[in-house]
Amino acid sequence: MSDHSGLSIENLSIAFDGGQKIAVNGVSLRVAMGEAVGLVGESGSGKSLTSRAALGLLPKKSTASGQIRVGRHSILGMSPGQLRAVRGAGIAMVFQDPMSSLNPVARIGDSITQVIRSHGDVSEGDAFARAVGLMERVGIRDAKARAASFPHEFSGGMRQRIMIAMALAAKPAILVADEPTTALDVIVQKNILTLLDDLRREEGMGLLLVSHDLAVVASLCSRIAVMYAGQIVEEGPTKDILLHPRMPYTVGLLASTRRDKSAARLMSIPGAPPPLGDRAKGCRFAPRCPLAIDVCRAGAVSLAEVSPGHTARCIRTADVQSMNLESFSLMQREVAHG
Amino acid sequence: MAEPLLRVEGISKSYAPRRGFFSAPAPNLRPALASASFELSKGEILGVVGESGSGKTTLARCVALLERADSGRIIFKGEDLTVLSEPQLRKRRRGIQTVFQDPYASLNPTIRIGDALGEVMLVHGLATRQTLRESVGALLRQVGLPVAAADAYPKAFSGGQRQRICIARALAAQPDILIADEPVSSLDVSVQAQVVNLILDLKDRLGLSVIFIGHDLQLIDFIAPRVLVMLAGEIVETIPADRSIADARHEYTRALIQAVPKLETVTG
Repeated sequence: MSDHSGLSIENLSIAFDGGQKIAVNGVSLRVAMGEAVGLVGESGSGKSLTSRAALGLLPKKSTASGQIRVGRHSILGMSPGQLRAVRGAGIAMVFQDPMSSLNPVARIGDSITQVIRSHGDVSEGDAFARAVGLMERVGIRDAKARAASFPHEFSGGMRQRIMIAMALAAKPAILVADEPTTALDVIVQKNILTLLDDLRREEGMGLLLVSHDLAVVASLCSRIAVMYAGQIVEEGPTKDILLHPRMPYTVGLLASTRRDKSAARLMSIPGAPPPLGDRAKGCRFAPRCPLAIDVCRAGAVSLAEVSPGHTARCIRTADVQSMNLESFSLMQREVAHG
Repeated sequence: MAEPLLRVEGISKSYAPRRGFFSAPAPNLRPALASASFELSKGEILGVVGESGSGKTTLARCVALLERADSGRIIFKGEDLTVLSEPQLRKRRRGIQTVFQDPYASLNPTIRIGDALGEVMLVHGLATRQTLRESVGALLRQVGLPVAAADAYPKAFSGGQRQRICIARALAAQPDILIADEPVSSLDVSVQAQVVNLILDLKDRLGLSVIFIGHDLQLIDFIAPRVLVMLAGEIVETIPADRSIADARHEYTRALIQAVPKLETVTG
């Protein structure tokens, strides 16, 4: 694990219908060991497809191009057998819905034991002891007794801890967590996020945290990538993204998390993301953007560096910089009603 | 003081799991809802906040008459609903409508949106076959959807749009009270704001009373002047309209506030 170079995704595209519908478009993303990176976007932005592709979990009937490296392994084009070898110790995943990801008729201890044994030559007894250790590691009290329980006997938060324990079974270098707390309430969410952060620091794992909630991602990650309609539209250090966003979509996302009691309404981004196969030729956010001008709609806009380590896909980054959230929101209302 | 639209007095509800088919229910269970009391005025939004298992959904189900409370009184428009028979209740349910958390699970995938909305109006005698199409169109416009949505099936809509449809279906009954049980918890943050704003617009336009349930105290505080905080089946704190959640007294309320990740804590 020590010589591991982390996860690197280069120019990843994922298409459906024989290349007709491009769901993920030229995404590049890196997660170094010990680093937490956030991937933020709305439903349909391609964030889950991207994160699953990192484990070689591509939907049937999809085609992928580009390069995904986990350590020294190249994921795309691997056989199922080769993928199995990389998953676990190389990269592991925690999914949103722990209830449908756990076998309902297997005792938790047995499920985790099975994962441990499938990744190494360990005796049943040793594997079970390690399973109990992992359950303790993720904060399940009275782990030895609880190992005999079934998934339905745990609360949602505890089930998510069990999923994390399973993902840790083979000591992964990279952990991908796709909306790990979306189904949970705020207090349980905080506990799970704290656990993920502790594990990253103590085990030196790389963490890719995928969420629609910018605040969740910002609480854990040092860098954030924002996805919209299949593309990364802004990426940079968390503080830059939050304090100096340079892409109007990011500004809109930030605005919609504000709870300003002096305002009569919440700020929101009017409209909805474009459906797959109906994406604008130029900037894909242009139809919803208060700053959009003709040039934005004319041709594809590429990611450009706006400050060291901070890139944005917008030709009006200079104008975005001089705006505050309120004026942006006012302009958006005009877009919505005009 | 005038009688409020809704007065809930000490309602309780327990769910007793049976150990076997013939055995008696287990005694001494912690109730899902323990002696909850509150009032709701016309045109008021009341917030209810708590974690999973705190009893907020049980409270919603009892008030919406989807479930009978074990004890206590629910006085709606001056009438105690808890003493009514099932056929009498069926008529009163129209006045209190619910929007549920999961818009994917609460729409029948095989029924067109127009039929789903129209059925509600026909059942309650609020439209005739002749005027139905027009009434459905008006409902859809009211929640910000195109009239053409009436001819589509639920699968054609995103989560946010589905929640708008669920709100339209609740409004189809022309209720006095709308109970929104975590209506935005399963939606993207950007879409949450749109749906919250819609509910606020409808309250203003129709004079609806709303019970808005959730676990994000910051969001609830924005929406509702008065907030009930629930823990383990009990209302542990009521934050009145003239006080901020920042001054919350109960330890648990403060824990709820601190649990929500905030951008300000990152940016300093």
